[in-house]
Amino acid sequence: MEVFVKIERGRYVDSLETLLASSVLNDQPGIEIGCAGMATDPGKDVLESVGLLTEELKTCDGSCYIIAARAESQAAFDAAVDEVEANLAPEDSGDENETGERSCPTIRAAVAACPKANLCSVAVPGEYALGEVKKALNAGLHCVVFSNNVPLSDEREMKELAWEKGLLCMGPDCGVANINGAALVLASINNRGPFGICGASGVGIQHVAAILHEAGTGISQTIGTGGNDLKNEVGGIMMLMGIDALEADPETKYIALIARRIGDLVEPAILERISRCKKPVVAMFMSCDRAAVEKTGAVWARDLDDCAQKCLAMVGKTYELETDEELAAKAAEAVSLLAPEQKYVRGAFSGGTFMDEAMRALIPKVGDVLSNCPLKEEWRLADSHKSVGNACIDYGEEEFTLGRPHPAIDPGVRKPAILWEAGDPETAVILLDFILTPPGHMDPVGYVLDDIRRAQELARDAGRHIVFVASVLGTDADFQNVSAQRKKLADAGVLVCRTNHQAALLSGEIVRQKKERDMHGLR
Amino acid sequence: MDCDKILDLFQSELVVVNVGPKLFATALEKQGYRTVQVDWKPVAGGDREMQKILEVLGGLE
Amino acid sequence: MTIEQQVNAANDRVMEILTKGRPVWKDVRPALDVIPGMTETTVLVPGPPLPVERLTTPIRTAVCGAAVHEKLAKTKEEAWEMVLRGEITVAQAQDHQCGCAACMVVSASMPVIVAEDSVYGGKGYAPIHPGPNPKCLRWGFYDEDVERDLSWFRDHYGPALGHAVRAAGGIDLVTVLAKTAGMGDENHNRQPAASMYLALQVIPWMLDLEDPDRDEMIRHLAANDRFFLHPMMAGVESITATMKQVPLSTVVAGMAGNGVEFGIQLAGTGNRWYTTKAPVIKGTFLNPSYTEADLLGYLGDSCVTEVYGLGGMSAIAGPAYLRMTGSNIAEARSRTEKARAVSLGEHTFAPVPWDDFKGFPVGLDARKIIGYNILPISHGGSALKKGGQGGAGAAELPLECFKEALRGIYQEALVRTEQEG
Repeated sequence: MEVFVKIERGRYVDSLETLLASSVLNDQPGIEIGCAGMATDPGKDVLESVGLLTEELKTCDGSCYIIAARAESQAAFDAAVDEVEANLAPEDSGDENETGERSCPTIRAAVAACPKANLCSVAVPGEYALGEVKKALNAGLHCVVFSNNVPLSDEREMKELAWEKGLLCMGPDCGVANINGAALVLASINNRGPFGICGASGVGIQHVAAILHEAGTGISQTIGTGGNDLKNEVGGIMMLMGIDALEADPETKYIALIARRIGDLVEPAILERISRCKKPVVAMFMSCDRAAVEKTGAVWARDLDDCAQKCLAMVGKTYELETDEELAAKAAEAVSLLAPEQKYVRGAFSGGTFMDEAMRALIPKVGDVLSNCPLKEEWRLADSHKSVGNACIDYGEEEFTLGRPHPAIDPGVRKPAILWEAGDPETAVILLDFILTPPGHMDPVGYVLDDIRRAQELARDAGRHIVFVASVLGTDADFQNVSAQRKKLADAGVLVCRTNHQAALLSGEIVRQKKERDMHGLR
Repeated sequence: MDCDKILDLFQSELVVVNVGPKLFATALEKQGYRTVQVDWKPVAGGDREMQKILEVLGGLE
Repeated sequence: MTIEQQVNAANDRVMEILTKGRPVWKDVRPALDVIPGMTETTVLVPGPPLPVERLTTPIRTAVCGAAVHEKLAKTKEEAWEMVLRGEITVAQAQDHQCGCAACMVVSASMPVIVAEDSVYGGKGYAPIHPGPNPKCLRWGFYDEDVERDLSWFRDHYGPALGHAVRAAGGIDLVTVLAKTAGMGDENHNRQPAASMYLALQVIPWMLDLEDPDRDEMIRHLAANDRFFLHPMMAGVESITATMKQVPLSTVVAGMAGNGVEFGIQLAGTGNRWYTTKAPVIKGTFLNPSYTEADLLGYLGDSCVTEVYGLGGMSAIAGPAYLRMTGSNIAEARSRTEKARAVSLGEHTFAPVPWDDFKGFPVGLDARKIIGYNILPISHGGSALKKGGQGGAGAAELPLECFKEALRGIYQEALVRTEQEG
C-alpha cells in the first residue's frame, strides 16, 4: 500500500460534496483509506491524522481540491478517482441539461439571468454566509440559510438587514422551511393547509408538519428561524417577523410556534407579540413556563407530539398515538424475547433534537442516560464510540462527521453503530430515527437493513435477541414515502412507532419491564 | 412590520437562486421548482492574506 | 476617495486607453534609432529579468548570435564572455516597449516594426517575424545561414517594409482585426487571415521598390502566415506604454516568460515585474519523439497579445488552433468565458459570429483573477531546451505572480495614502 494523490488547483468543491466523495472513495476496491477535499488547514489536519499528508500535499493551499488515498496500486487509485468523479458528475451535467441554464458565478449574475428569482438558498461555510446573504438581500431575494457556525454578530447583522428590507432571512443554521409548497433545505414535502409554523427547531417543525399532513390537513408556510434566533444576541428578529408574516398571510388560519430555549431578554418580546396576534396560536416553548404562555392567550404545548395534537384539535382532527397501555403490552412481548444479560437501551440518532426528546422520555423509565451530548454533564460518555449502560449517541455531532453532512443526507456516519451496539451482550434495545427529505438519501431504511439483519443473526448465534425500535420522520409525499420506509422496517422485524417520542417511550418501557423482571428473578 | 414583500413571495411562483452545493437545487427541481445555480467559491480560494488585500482594493461583486 | 475608488478610477482610465487606443503600424527602423534606451551594446531579450548566468540555452545562443551579428564579438563564445563581464547589456524587451516572441532578441542594427497609438501617442516596437524556416534566431539558432538572413532583413527586407508602410500612410491594426473577424484567427498563434489582409495592404507599396530583391521580398511576405503577430505585438506595446503611466491600476499591462520564470506587469506599477516559476505549455508536439521533459517553461513576449484580448482570451475566435493543439471548441469557449469573468472590458470591433457576435474580453484585472480564483489562459508555442520549437498549445497563467502583483499594488496604495494623509 502506498499513498497516491490527485491535485486540482483552482477547483472548489463544497464539503457537502467532498465528503460524499470521500465516502465513495473509501468504498472502492483496493483503497485502504482515502480522503477527498479542499486542502485547507483543517483539511490537511484530517489528512495528517490518517497518514495521507504527503510532502506534495503540504505545499497545497485552500484553493486546491485534492483526492488522496493509500491504495494497492496507481491503477486502483485511478479507478477509484474515476468512480468518485462519476459520482459527482451526474448532478452537474444532468442539472444543466434539464434547465438548459448555465450556472452563474455570482448572485447578481443569477438574478440578471433569471429576474423572477425570489428566494436564495445559501449553504456556504459559515464565515462566508454573511457576505452572500447580504448580496442576496440587496438583490431583493428572501433567504434561507443552511450554513452553520455563523458568528452571532453576523447573524444579527443579516437579520437586521432583512428586517429593514422586509425580507425573510430564515437561518443561519436553518434545517427546515416550506415555502409555497416547496420543501427547502432538509424539510419534508407536505400537503398545503391552514397551519403556518414558525420555529427555531428544524426537526420540530418537520415533525409537527408531518403529523398535520398524516392527519389529513397541512401547512400554509413553515418558517425556520435557525436555532440561534431566539438567543439574546440575535433578539428573535426572525421569529417576530415570522409571526407578523403568518398573521398577515390570508392562507394561514392558525399559527404554531416552536422553540427549545428562548433568551431571557427575548422572551418578553415574543410573548408580548403573541398576545397581540389576531390568529389562534399554539406555542411549544420548552424553556418557558406554561402560565406565561397561556397568559398570552396562546395554547400551550408540552412537546412536539402535543403541539401537533393541539393544532389538530383546532380543526377537529386527531392523530392516533398508542396509549401507555398499548405500549406496555408491546413492551411485554418484546421483553419475553430477551436473554438475561440484555438490559440496556442504545439510541443511535441522526440529530440532536430527536435525541434530546428521546432522552427526556427515557429517563423516567430507565434512570440516567449516558450520551456524547448528555442532558446532565455527569452523564457524559467517556468514549463516544463505546456505549455504557443506557446510552444515546448523536451521530450528527462533529466528532463523528468531521464536517460531513447531516446524517439525513449521508447516513454512512451512523451505519456502523448498529453492529457496534449489537455486539455488546448487554444491549437489549437499539433505538433509531430516520429522517426523509428531498436532498436526503433516497432509501435511508434500505441502507441499514442488511446491518439490522446481520446484527440479529449475530445475536441469535449468541443466544440473544435484539429489539429494534424505530421511527421515521417524513410524509407520504416525500420521494422516499414514509409508509414504504416504515413497512420495510416492520418487515425486517423492527418495532415501528409513529413518532420518535413514542419510540423512546416504548424502548424505555422495554428496559423498565426487563429490569423489573430481573429484580423479581423472573425469566 | 411591513409584510408586503413576504406576502409577495407567498403569492408568487417560487424561483430559487441556489448558492452552494447543487444537492439542494436538484432536490427543488425534482419537486418541480425552478432554480438558478450559483457556483460559489470562497474569495481567493480561501487565501486569508489575499482576502484582506481584496477588501481594500475591491473589484469583486 | 477610498483606495477601492482610486483603484476603480485608475482601472477606468486604463480601460479607456486599452479599448479606445488605436495601434497603427507606422514604420520599420533600426532598433538603435527608435527604441528608447537602446545602445550599440544592448541586446533586448524576452520575458522578465533573469541573471545572465541563468539564461536558457536558446536565449544565450540568440544573445551571442546577435552580438556576433553586430560585430561586437567574433564568436559566440567571445560574446558570452562579454555578457558575463557586463560589456554587453542584456535587458528586458518589454521594459523598452518592445516585444520579442519566442527566443527572439533585438540588437542595435536590427530592423524593428514601429507602431504608434494614434489616440494616446504611445509607441511600441517588435522585430520582424523571420518566416516559416524553423532555423532562425527567433528559435535560438545562430550560424552562417541565420546570419545571412539577419543581414538580408537588415539591409533589404526591413527597409523595404518600412518604405511600403510609410508610403501606405501607416496601417491601422484594429482595421486588420476588424476586417478579418470571423475568419478563424485567435491572433496569437494563428493569424493567416490577418497576415493575408495585412500583406494586401503592404504589397502594392512594395511593387515600386528599386531593390533587386523586390520579388523575393514580396514572396517572403506572402509566404508568411504568421507575419501579423509581430506588428500586433508592437501595436500592443504602443498601447501598454500609456497604460503603464496610470498609478494604482490592477489591469495587466505586460506579461512574458523567460523559459525559467513567468512574469506579469500591472499598469499601476509600470515596468515592475511580478514573477514565479514559468508554466509549461501543454498541447501537441511538433515531433512525436519530444516529451514535456524536453521543453522549457513559457518563453517569449508574444503573450502581450493576450494583454490586448487576443490568443487564449479570444480562443473562441480561433477554434482551429484548439483542434490543432489537441483540444476542442468547448474548451475554446471555456477559455474565452474564463477571460470574460476576470476582464474589465470588451473589444467590440471584431465580433465572433459563432459566439453570438460577441466581442472578445480585454483588460485582465488581477483582483478578479485572485478573488474568483480563475486563471486566464495564454496560447503559445513551446521552446525546446536545446533550441527550436517543441510544440504549441496553451498554459494557465500562474496564480502566484498575480498574488505578488496585488501585494505590490496594495503596498503602493498604502504608501500613497500615507503621503497624502
